Amino acid sequence: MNVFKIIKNGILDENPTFRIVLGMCPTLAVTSSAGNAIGMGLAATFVLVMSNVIISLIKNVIPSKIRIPAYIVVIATFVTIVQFVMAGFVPELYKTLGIFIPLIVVNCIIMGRAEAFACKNNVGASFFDGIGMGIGFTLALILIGGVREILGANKFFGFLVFPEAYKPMLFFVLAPGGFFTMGVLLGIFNAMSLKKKKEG
Amino acid sequence: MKDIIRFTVTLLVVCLLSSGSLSLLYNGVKDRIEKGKILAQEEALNYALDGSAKIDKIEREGLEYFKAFNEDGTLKGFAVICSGKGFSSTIKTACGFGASGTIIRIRVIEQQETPGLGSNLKEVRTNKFLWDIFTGKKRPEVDPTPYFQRQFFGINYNDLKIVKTPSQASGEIQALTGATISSKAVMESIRAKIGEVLKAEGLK
Repeated sequence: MNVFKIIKNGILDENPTFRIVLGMCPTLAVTSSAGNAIGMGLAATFVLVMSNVIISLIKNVIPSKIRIPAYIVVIATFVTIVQFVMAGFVPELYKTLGIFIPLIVVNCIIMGRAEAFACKNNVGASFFDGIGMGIGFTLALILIGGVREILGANKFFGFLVFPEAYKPMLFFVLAPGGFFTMGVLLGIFNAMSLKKKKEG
Repeated sequence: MKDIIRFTVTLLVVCLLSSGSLSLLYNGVKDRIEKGKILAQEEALNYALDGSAKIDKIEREGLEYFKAFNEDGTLKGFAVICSGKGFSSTIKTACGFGASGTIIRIRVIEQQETPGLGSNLKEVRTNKFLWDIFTGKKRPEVDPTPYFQRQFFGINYNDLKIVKTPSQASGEIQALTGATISSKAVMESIRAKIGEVLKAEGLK
């Protein structure tokens, strides 16, 4: 088992957002600022790692015909655990992240990794796959969120970026700006990997 | 047939384990969550009243509000939790106001509006630039009150009005960009609730 390779796979080769293009719904919804992006990324990483581990543990017990509902229950359980623990111990953080937590259930990266990786690999590999995918997802969200926050609100993590003369393009914070940013970034990454392929 | 039983039993076990562990966990954190909520609410009500010597809780005609007194026993005003349906959540606001219906302060205590738009209800204006971190430049402290909520301070509830472009008239609340529904929800819930309380108190 090559830990480094599995983690790198999640961040670059199979980046959930830019390469396998999964979980677009929460991605577009929460990337209006870089801070939100980090919150969503970390919460999703936790659920991803935990569900990957549990699913790879129970993969032999669950008959394959009912694996999907069983996995959904596992994922939903961890999302609810995150919700309870945060509400009880870090209410301030919970308030800011409130809306993102339930959104994780509908994040198809988690289901996707359960199907594509955790149910075919051992616990250790699944754990690191969760970490790699989680980091890849978080970095992608920060990139999109950063671009949208800087252009749309003239801020980055709440700090002003350009002098006041710059009037922010509100478009980027709104939903259409999310699609626009996502499209342009996807295009850039695809062009880069095409070029790499040609050279290689 | 054998399959059906096997599938049912497997799913049953998975669900039982899941709900069992969740209910155990919930029982463990329930009190903490409730306590935190009550504390946050008390603090917000105190803030909305700008401090007071004594607060009485009053329940009348299905209406729950707080009556606040000054140190010399005179009426300071009322505080109430207003809730209104926003764009994607119910927005709860603590609101303090005087006997004439003039708002003292407000504080949004619960909202799950769209991040970056409706959530700007709680946005504080900043004057800190990203490169200040590197240059170490200090800038004067800014008002820590969220700018949207600040607009309500000192306004009579009858004058409240949501506008997109302000025209200097008193009582105008400038809607948050891209979040008119959230802005309206806060304003309308406050206006309605103040009216109800004043009516119950016979002040209207």
